Amino acid sequence: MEEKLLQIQDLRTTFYTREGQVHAVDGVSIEIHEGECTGIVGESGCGKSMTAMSVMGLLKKPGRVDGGSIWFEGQDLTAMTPRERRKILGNRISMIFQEPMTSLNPVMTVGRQVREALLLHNRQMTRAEARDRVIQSFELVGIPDAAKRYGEYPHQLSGGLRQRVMIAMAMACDPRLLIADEPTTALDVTIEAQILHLMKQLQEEKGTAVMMITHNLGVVAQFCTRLYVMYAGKVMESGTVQEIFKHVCHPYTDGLMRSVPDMKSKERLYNIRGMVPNMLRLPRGCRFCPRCQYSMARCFREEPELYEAAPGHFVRCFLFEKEEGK
Amino acid sequence: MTEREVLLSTRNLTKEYQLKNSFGIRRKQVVHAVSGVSLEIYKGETLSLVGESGCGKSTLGRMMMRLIEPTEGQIFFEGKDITAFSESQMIQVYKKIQMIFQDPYASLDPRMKVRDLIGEPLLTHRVCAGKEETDQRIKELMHMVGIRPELIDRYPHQFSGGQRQRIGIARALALNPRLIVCDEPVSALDVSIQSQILNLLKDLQQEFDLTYLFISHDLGVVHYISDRVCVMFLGKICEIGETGEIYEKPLHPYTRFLLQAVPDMDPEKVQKREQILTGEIPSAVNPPSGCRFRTRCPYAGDICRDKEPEIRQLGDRKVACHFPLG
Repeated sequence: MEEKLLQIQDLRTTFYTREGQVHAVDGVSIEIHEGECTGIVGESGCGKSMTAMSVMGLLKKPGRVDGGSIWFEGQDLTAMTPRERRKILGNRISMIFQEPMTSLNPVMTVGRQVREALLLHNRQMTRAEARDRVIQSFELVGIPDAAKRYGEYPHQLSGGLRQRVMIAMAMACDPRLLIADEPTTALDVTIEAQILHLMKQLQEEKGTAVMMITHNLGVVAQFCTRLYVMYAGKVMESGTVQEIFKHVCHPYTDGLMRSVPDMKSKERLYNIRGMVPNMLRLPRGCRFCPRCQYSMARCFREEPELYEAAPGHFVRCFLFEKEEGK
Repeated sequence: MTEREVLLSTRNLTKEYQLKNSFGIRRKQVVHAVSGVSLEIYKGETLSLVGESGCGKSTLGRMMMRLIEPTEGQIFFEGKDITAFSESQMIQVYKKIQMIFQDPYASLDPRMKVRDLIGEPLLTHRVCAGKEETDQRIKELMHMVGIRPELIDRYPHQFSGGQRQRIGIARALALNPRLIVCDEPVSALDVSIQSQILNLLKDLQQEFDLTYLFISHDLGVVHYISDRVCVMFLGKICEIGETGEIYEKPLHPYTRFLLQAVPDMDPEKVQKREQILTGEIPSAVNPPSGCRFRTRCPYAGDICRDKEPEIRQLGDRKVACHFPLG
């Protein structure tokens, strides 16, 4: 269990735009352990999706990985040629996206799309074998009438079924790591619960590690064992889910948790004042300090590092520097 | 419950859409978007419509404003039947009913300045005398929703999502309405911004004695904002009652599954398998006979197939189920 499957070290992803450089991912280090589910949480623009896209090598044009390394099973993905990388992607690492309709090909039957992924990475497999495997995988992800659905097009399926097809495709080659980028955000609550349950079940049965990118803290609480909270391109807090939900340290994480209505009390919701900073003009010092209710003069001058508040629990805030403590 | 003043009520409101084929010729099939909904909205309260996509909550909200013409049924506003009002009569009603939309990117004209966006309703209804008074009122509204009045000459693209939503709220408030229909006003926003807007809506309600019809799929948000909740499934009301009571002790099986499907923020409260609703949302073209929820309901008996459950009063609550949970 303690084996590190993916190790992102000091990753820097920059977008070179006409207005200037946007450091979407600014020195992020993340570890994902074998068979474990790790959540990456943050609001839009915090760099969580861009971290995943950097791992997958799917960054679009003005974006580029500028520094750092991504170690997967002992190899550095950033040092590989695209050809070498393609052997790993979709095979050892696969990804599912938020909107299943836009990531499926609308003019190809869903069965053929999944079969294609399978044949690409298994050259010796015959088409008939692949077909059987696809139908099996459809059954595994709980698609009713799997054989009939094989020949249907994406628009004939509901959102929940489409996401199941995406999961079947991602799991077709038995990946070691599954990156899920907001997999249930576009779905209804009852369908979301079904999909999360399915993912959990597959993860436990196959021992696949999952990197769950989400903005929903409830999903993290239910699904993940480890958590990274990101803000404006940096990791602000990391640790086990148990630890962070019990002893939240960073003012941003705390504010985020208190901003979510919890269906229990009607007490006035906490507001994090202000809004997410413009990535072109980041504040000096701590990126969160203009919105932070504990900010001190020092926060506006220097940038805090990650301090270890408790064993394995790291916080990027001066309040948790070793000598001082809270 | 004491006798309260009814602001708006509907009687047997129904909307059906005739399906057409690609030549525009009518087919026999009909989409039952909303079927026979009767409810009351009391003065000064927040009534929420909750349900999953396709349950008809938005259609119902728009029908109450007559943005969609009902197929059948009546709408009463302040005691008057507005179902057959002419356009000029409706203009008077629109002074008192306004709407806030989900997508702050799509609902504001990108070529209009904030001044014109908020000023438009004031001009249309000629409520301010002269340019100066209009300007003053616009600035007052901007201040009320928390946007600096200096920004009056900016365009929507210069604002963030949360600020745009504030502009949308200012626009809705311009005419001092009695009722505001809020159609998923926070679902497109980040968590930290969502709580700001929710608190703003609550403050405005207190200050101006507003009544909200709040349409949302987010059960946490609904719990926080509403006094009463109406749960809908496939165009029909399942259950309607006080928020606290419904969340504490749901009587309709669908309500209970919906509540259990929300991922809990406590990592120690693990969702159990039997709490997850199976199956998909049935089609509104051929809704199941009898109770529309019966195909997904674990408690369904023969009577649910044969007979449609009438909506009945149980204590303070109204429930449409043959076997309400005890």
